[in-house]
Amino acid sequence: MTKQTHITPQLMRIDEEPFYQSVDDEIEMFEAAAKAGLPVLLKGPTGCGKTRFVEHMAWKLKRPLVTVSCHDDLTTSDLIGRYLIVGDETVWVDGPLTAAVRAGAICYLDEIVEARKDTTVVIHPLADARRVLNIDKHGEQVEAPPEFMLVISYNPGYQSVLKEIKPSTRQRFVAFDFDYPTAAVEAKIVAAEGGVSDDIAQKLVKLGQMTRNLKGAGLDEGASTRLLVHAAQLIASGVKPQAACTAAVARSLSDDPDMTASLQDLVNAVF
Amino acid sequence: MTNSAVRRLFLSEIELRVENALPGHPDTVGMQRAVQGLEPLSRAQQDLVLHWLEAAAQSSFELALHMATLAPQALERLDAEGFEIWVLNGLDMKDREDVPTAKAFFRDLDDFILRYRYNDSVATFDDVIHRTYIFLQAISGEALDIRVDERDKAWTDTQVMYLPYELAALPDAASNRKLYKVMATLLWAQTRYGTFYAEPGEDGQAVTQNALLRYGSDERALRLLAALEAVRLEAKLLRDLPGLVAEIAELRGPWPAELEPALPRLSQPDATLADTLEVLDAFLKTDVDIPAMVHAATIDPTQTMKNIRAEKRTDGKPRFGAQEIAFEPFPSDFDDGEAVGQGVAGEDMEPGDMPSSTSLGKNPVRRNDDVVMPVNPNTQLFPEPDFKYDEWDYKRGAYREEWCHLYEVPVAPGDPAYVNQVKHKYRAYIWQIRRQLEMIKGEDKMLSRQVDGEEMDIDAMIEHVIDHRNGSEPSDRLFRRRVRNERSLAVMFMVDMSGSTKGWVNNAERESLILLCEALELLNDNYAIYGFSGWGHKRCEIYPVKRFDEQYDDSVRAKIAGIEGKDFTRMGVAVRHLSKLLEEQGARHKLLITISDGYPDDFGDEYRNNYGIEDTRRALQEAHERGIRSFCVTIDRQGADYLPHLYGPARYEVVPNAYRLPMRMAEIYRHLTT
Ligand SMILES: Nc1ncnc2c1ncn2[C@@H]1O[C@H](COP(=O)(O)OP(=O)(O)OP(=O)(O)O)[C@@H](O)[C@H]1O
Ligand SMILES: [Mg+2]
Repeated sequence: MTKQTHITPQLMRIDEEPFYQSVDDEIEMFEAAAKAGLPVLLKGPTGCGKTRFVEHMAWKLKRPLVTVSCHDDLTTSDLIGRYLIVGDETVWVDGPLTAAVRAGAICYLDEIVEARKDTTVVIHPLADARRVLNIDKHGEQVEAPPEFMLVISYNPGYQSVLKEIKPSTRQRFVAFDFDYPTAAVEAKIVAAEGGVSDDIAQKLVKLGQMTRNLKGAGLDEGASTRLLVHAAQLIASGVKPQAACTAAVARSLSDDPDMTASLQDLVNAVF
Repeated sequence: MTNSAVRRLFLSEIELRVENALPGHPDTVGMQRAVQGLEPLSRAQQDLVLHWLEAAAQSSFELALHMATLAPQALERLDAEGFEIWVLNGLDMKDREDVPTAKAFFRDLDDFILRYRYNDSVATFDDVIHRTYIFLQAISGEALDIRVDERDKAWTDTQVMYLPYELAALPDAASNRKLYKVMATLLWAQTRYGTFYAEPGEDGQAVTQNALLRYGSDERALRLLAALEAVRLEAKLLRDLPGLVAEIAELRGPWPAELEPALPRLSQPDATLADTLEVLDAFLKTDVDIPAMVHAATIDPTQTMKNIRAEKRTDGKPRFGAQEIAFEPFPSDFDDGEAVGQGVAGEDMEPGDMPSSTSLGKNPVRRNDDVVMPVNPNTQLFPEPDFKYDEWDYKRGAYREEWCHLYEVPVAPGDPAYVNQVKHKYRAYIWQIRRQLEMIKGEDKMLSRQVDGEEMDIDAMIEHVIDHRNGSEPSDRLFRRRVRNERSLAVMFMVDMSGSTKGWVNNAERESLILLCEALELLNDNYAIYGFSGWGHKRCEIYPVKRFDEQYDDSVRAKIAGIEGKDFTRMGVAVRHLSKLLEEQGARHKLLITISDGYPDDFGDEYRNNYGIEDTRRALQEAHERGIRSFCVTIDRQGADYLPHLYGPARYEVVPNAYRLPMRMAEIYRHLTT
């Protein structure tokens, strides 16, 4: 046997409270799931606060956070780890998932549907009563400490038939439904995050809601809270509101000339 | 002129280019005449005409020569852009009609110039409808029905918004397009802010739409009413859409002086129709009149009420803007004795029965049970069916075995020119979809751990070394290889060809299929197109338009053009048959996309209502269990309430206006498969 050294990726520790505006009882529910050692699935459209929520909970529960953005090239080794050769030695490097398990962290797998099915199955034993991670490559079985928590997310909005979560995966998770918050709550978020007045924030939210009316009628998704925050940030740094919305909202939602023109009409109508 | 690059072409040079453009054309006299006509033109004009002569020659020598002969006259009166439009219009004319018609078009220069100048400042419904539609859907959250008004007025019956076919009231086209947007928004505001309904007054007395009827067809009163409402509605819009209101103010200019006294009261954000009517009555006691304003939509209470009655909307609800407004029920003297009792879900019905209310009743071939139908002449003459399928009888909770007799019926080819017309109409869009699909196609994949390939797989190499050292057997899969992304996808388009799709729905279906096919040819997706309809369970029909193994060629194109409305909508059997065909395809992913215009319905037996819905649902469920994913696109604005149940196991989308179907289909396809 060669001598094995472990290298562990950096874990993110969140010391300062990330601003998160709760919408419902999601904070209490998440705490309960954490206590019960259950994995969590966050469903919701893009830019509605899923990532921010997980960061907030990591801070609240005082656990490190490991985030992995899934894509269709993500292999099991990318999650679990691989051997490297350093000089004359083979060195095992933990992947982010293994690191999170060892450290009792929250592991957040963003956009899980993008990952390949064979990659998704490695999380199965972690996401049920066994709570273990099998590292086949060197025959190790890592038992997850009680603090370890698995969180996955996906956007059910427009799902391709080529990408579906298998029921055997999804049924291991406690599911949370996320959506864009009510106008009043969203305006609070936009004002706080974007640094704009309540009046501007309300107009931005109004614009956002109008674009959401177009979902399925030419747009795949309306403007997310994230886009509205972006527009607000541009405004806060001195850009005129119309120009800010054109750049942050109208152009980023569509390439279709008719649609962009209509979105521009909406921007002009609101401001 | 010293620079030879800009000198005029000599006669012989022109001659040569004309001969090259029209090789072997027998009309040498005509060619000579055209050449002589081009000689005195400027070099830029000569180049312009010769360029278009060459382009037109691709289409017809005769027509190209005709155009070139008339070109000098045309260029006396048209600039280069106008000239190009003139030529393009003529070529279009030839594509749509024939050469003689196109020649006649070129000869009638006066007519073209008249329209060209005019068109410069006119906006048409077709120019703006798409944008207006999106705009209103965004602000209202509803799919509105917007149509051209035959009398060229802007008005609404609270269900449909009518707009003039063209607007030329303002000096330039851009302003006229804005005017469309403003008019449409004000029409929506009429319904949203209660032009046809007012809250009960303080004395508890309801001020209903009948208040409007008392002005009858008094033109002055209606003109004043429209103006006063325009003031009131503008104030209502101010809170949410200040930018739009500024635009309206700019278009209309200052309010006419005669309206001044009304402004303070009607500009209050909480002013209601009652306020408008009081002000109006005060005006009517004087002899004040005001000129009609460009942007104020017509209010035509008589017509509006007539349409509402014709729709038998006894719930009295306006169809759009309904959230905050409601109609009072009509007083009986307003009803001319027609039956008004329409079933509403949950009343007087078997639990779960589909209501036969007007909201679903727009299907023109859906007959009432008590109407005697002519006996289907084929009833006795059925040959042995091509296929037999079971059907789900929800009342018995069991299948009826081999209940549906299915026949494969060929589609009669349609007009071969149709496809080109559609391609022309949507050329910009086809290009756009293609570009998007190209991106899917372009995504190559790297496969790791291959036995050979174009580069080393570092991970595999390292493992190899480690396994070697550890004494276990190393793998020889050490390469990465780039491959074309294999989608392994088979798609079935199942197209409703029931009688109710006759006309615009059919046309939208045909156009969608052409757009899809034109774009899908880029991808290697295996796809098929079948229509379905039928008449009773003994004559269910399926119409192959493109089989999986068929190429998208002229014969398929002609069949798409031949898609037309037939009989009824027995959907379950079609889903079963087509999912069987789909299943036979070896692809890993199988997708069934249905396009229909309403709920399943058949004549003569119980397929109508719940039975049909349950059977269709069951068939989709069966398909799902066999790994087929279904997506249903429905063109039906009002039926959305039964769809979640009907499409239970499938996903679906309601496309409110048929004209949006082609574009939407392409987008849906892209989303479902990337
Ligand atoms: N409830 C919220 N509290 C505070 N900020 C929020 C909230 N919701 C959204 N935001 C703002 O919106 C931005 C986007 O949110 P986030 O990144 O969490 O979206 P997401 O749901 O993870 O999106 P995606 O699916 O695209 O990853 C945040 O950076 C934050 O500014
Ligand atoms: Mg995120």
